[in-house]
Amino acid sequence: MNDELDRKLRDVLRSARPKPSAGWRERALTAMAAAQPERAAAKSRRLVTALIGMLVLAALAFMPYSASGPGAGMESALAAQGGMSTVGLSGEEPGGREEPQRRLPEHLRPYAGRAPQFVRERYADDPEMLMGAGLLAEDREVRLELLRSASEIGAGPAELAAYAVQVLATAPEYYRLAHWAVDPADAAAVGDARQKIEASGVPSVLQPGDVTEPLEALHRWQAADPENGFPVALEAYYLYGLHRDAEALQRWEEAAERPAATLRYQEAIWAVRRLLRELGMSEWEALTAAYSGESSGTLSALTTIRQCARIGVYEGRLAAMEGREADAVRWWRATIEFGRHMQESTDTLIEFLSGVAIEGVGARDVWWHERHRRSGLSEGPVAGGRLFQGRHHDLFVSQAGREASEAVRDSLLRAKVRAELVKEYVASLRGLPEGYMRWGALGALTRSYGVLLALLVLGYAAASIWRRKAADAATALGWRSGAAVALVALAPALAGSVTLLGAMWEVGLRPGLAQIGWMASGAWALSLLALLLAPLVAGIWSCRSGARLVAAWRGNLRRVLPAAMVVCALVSLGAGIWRWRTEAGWAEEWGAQTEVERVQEALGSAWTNPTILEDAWRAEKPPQVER
Amino acid sequence: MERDAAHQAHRAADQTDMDLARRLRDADPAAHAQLCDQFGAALHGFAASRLMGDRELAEDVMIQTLADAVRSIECFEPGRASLGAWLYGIARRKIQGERRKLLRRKSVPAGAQTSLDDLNDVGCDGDMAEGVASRLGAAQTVARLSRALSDDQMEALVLHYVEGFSTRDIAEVLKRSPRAVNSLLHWARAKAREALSQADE
Repeated sequence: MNDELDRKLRDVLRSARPKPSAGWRERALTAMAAAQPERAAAKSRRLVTALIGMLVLAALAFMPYSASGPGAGMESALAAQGGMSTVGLSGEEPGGREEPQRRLPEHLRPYAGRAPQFVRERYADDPEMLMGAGLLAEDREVRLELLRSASEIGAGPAELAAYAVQVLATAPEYYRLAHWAVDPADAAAVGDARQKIEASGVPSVLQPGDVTEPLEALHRWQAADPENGFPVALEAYYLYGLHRDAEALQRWEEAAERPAATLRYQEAIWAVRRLLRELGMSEWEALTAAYSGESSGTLSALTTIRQCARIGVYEGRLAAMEGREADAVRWWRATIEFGRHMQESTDTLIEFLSGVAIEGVGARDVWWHERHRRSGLSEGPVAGGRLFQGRHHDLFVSQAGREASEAVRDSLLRAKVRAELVKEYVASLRGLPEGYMRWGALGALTRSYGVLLALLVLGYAAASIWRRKAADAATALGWRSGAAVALVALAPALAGSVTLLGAMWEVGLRPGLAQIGWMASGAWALSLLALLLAPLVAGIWSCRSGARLVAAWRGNLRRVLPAAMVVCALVSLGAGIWRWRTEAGWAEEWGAQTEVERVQEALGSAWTNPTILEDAWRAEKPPQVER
Repeated sequence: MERDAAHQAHRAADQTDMDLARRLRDADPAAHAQLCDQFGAALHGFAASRLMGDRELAEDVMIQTLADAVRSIECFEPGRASLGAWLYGIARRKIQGERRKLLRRKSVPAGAQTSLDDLNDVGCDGDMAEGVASRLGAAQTVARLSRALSDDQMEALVLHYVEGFSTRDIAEVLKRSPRAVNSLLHWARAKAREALSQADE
């Protein structure tokens, strides 16, 4: 029975089937030929082409990006400003001596290591390059040798200054009571200072043989730089160490009479910049590295000059106590004048601020700055306080005249206002070049899209390494549709990038910058996730008959990821080029200006004609308050 | 012994399928012709039986199936099922889509209407009128069976009786397990017996 049923079903079902119409075979063959995929190239050729393509994309994304440089964060911006200015240097206590073997930041060490050999081979007769190499050298003996060569070949003020400063950096030291600027009438303070001197083990008098080399270097510098009072002031310091006080005072006065008082630090910075440039650093990196205070000897030279100011105050007080009122005023006036000349003639902020400090120290017994908390008065308009007459104000007036006293007062006020402007300039990140935050954001974009590109390359390789043809055949998604999916998936990252750039467009600290950075990072992560998942979702519709969803997903990845890779490479390349052009513009602008010129340009009339507010000084002694 | 013979036949069939698939991947034009000759007419018949006899639509489905097979030959996995089962699986999905469109129509499509030209290729040795009547009767019986059986049952019957597919291949086409296919065939036969006996009455 079953056999009969089977036979009947077979007959019925077969009989009811119509045959195809005429010509069906030709039509079928034509359709099959049209559907035939293109013949694949040789496997090895495909692999090589894919590798080359990936390498090119990766290189395009990473090439313009410089290896160093801070990102877009506030902390890095503040740190970067310190690296673009000389105000990173500081030194408070006596000493600040250079170590024989100093350690540079890691990113400069390779350049410092190559520099000596490099300049000896190619620039043996170029004093600027020799000076730059010497200033960058980590080993003191190498440093001295190169700077000596530079000073002998060039014999210009900058080379001689750099050499002299280096010689002085390790010259023998001495301590006298003047180093603490004590009041000689205050027995307790004098006793305390003597104890400190004894405890330090540093001699209180230099031997002539100790200072032969430093004085010789200073004399050579003076001869080449006759308008500059700085080497003369340094010589006064060593004469004071030899206890030749009268000569020291005479030289100190001469130093103050000369129109300029500069360490020639700006020229040292230019020399280091030029050297780093020749060693292959980019223009902007070389400039910032040179400004970050890597020139040796500067710190100790500025510390020595501050000691000169303390000597001037102490000797003036001693002279006043001993009834030598004219000498007292000479010491103070020389210190004040020297400090003022430093402010007016220098090119770097560190020297300017040192000059302000020296002028203030020299004038403290003539005009004293008291803060409101100590005076019990209302907050003053000058650095939270105001000027009062110092303890020897009347003596100064009796010797130098009231006009001279008023000139000192007004000069002090202008100096303090300018110093406050510089501090505010630095603190508000105005010391950064225009568009710095934007530049940092571009760096973040270059890195981020570069990383995204690398991940997409890995993803593409993973999708292609196994049964690539099966993946391609499994999906009906076209290349245009794949590109559209890629753009949609990249939309969060692109939107995050635009937001980040917009937020970082101007220099300045604003609330919420950190949150914007986090949001941008989240947007990139979201895009990466979307680039992996969107092809899977698309595979539900694009999967061909007979194919698996996983194969269709891989096929879609092979269509979506290349478009995303191209976008990432273009964005990374574009951001890198924009960043590089920004750097090049900064380097050109900053390279043509000294540090003080930049500040003057930024602050304008506030710098050239600082406003002295009312109630900035009182023609009286400061109120006596409990300290 | 019979099992060994069946096993060997299986292996031989698999080898033939793999050889044809490899030649299709290599874009061998002769492979296209072989595929077309081996499966074209059968696919057409299968499609027509499921699409209310619409020859034009069945030809479209057959051509699309063969074209998809060439395009997606990389997706064919010889170990899973025969080449024929894979092709019929592709055809079945296309047929399902077309059936949904057909069921929405209110009239019988033109291709499904029996014309005299179609009847000329009945090809029976006997009397022309007898052949035509036999053909029309078979068509009516198939229609009755289609009403009595589910789509899957009908497809299982066609694949088993007309295409001669094994249970394994039918399972691959219908995306079911072999046990489910056996059960499907069992119930399909039962319902077909009932439908045919009602027709005889």
